[in-house]
Amino acid sequence: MLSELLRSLIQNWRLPVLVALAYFLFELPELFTGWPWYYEEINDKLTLAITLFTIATLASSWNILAGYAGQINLGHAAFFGIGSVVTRELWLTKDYPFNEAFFYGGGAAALAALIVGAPALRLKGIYFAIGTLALAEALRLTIGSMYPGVSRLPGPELRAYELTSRYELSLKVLVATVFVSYFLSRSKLGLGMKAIREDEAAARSIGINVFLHTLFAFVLSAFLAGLAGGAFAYYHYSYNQIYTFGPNWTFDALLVTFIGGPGTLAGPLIGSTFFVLVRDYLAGTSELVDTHLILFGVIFILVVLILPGGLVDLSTRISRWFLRRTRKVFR
Amino acid sequence: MLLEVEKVSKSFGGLQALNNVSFTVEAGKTIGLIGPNGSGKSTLFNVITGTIPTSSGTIRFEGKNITKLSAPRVSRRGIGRTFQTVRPFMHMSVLDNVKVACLYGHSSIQWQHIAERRAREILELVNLKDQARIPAADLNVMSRKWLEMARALATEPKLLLLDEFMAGLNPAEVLESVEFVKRLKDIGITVIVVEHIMKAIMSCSDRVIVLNAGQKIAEGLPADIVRDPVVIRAYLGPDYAET
Repeated sequence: MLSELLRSLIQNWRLPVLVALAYFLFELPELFTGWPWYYEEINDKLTLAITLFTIATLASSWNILAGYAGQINLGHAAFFGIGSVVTRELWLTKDYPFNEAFFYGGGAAALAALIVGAPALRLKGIYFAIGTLALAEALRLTIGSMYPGVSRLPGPELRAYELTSRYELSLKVLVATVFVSYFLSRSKLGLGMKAIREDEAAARSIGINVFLHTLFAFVLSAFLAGLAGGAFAYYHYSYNQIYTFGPNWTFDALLVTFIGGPGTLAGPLIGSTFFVLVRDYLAGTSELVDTHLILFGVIFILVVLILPGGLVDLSTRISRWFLRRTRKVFR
Repeated sequence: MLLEVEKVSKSFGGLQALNNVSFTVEAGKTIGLIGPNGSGKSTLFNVITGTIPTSSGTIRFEGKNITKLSAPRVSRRGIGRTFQTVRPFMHMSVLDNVKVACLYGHSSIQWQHIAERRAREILELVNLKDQARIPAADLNVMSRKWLEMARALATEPKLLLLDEFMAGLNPAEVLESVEFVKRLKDIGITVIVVEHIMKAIMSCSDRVIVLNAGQKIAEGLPADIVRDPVVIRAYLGPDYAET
């Protein structure tokens, strides 16, 4: 009876914890107002948080296709880039209200995924991965030619610029991505995707349409990455459009997902928090500033070899051990 | 007729895996499908279930042509299967393995809690209820086979294709499996069993079809098949005939 109660608590704790965490993060800038360090450091802290939310969103959205449906997309940056370039252009050049431009950015990324995914998802495994990488690189070079200059916020937007609203938008996109992942993983569609990840032939034999499921995962993942791109376009007051198409956005998402735990809700969040905080620490230590990529390369290899389920797997093992101990005590 | 296979052929390049194979399966019967390794038994299962396309010929299920249907659509029509090499969804729980089949397949249950209840009932049927929460990867080979059987049953098939389900089991487990196959017949599921264990085939089949080199060489009652000189020469061997 007690072990059943414990099991039920362990299985259903995620949703209330996520809601509480999201609420706390939305209130965080307000909570720190008036603290001694506030006026000196708040912008640095908010910038760090926005970077963390952006990478966590990219990792969580990448995880929808790779972690749940088992297809490695090496062109995720393309959808982040499409989201940012469409939002920025509509908002600043075509004078669309930002909210409208933002959703068009996500929609454009989803549409691109639909057009690319229909033929590309006929390829599987490494062929799909290489195909998406080639697509992202082609798009990066094209965008580089189309928008060679630096995109800057115009005067009125620049004067009204403040970080808190950027923090809130990035957080909203992350919260939306996490909740979509949460409900997807518990839905019929999510179970179907996991079955495909495990064994496509067996999944087909029980009535699952592999192509439609993976295409849906691809489009959804691209839409959320596109929204992250839109939030990035809102956040940065000056950047080169080609920057958001860089492969580093894809590989950061991939790296943190594997470190945290692919195919899990918490994995990309834990992985990106670990990644951003350690990178920030190393960046602040002058002699280690250039070593973070080597360090994360080593961590990645170690995690793949020792802990294939990522840091989440470690916590699962610990909680299982704890549950076994508790059962023994109360038996 | 539940299933009609008419002049079905399948070739892989120069290899003729199936050559003009025809037979019918009546609803409620259990059919044994035997033949030497490489005779085309698994290929026949693969073309019936839409896993691979036929080169020629027609397959009808409940009078409807299913020759060109994909594997998921064949499953939703009511044909379930197990695989020669067990293929559970290793990193999913035993319960989710079965629940996902309840949600798709012929049953296509729309509500998760109903699917979960049904999955638990099926797991009880195959004695895996107590392992519902553990990952499929933690099961032994025998339990994995039963999990695959449960997953196939969860699609609520009208026709179930069992591909060497009893291979690698000890005599007691084979006996248990034979009894289970007989029970399937009692609950109205038509079964085609591919098996090399002749005692098992003989005790659970109403009729036996024999394949050799992609061709059907015999079909009939189990007692007649074991005495058929063509089958003895091609598959069973003279030693079996003497016993």
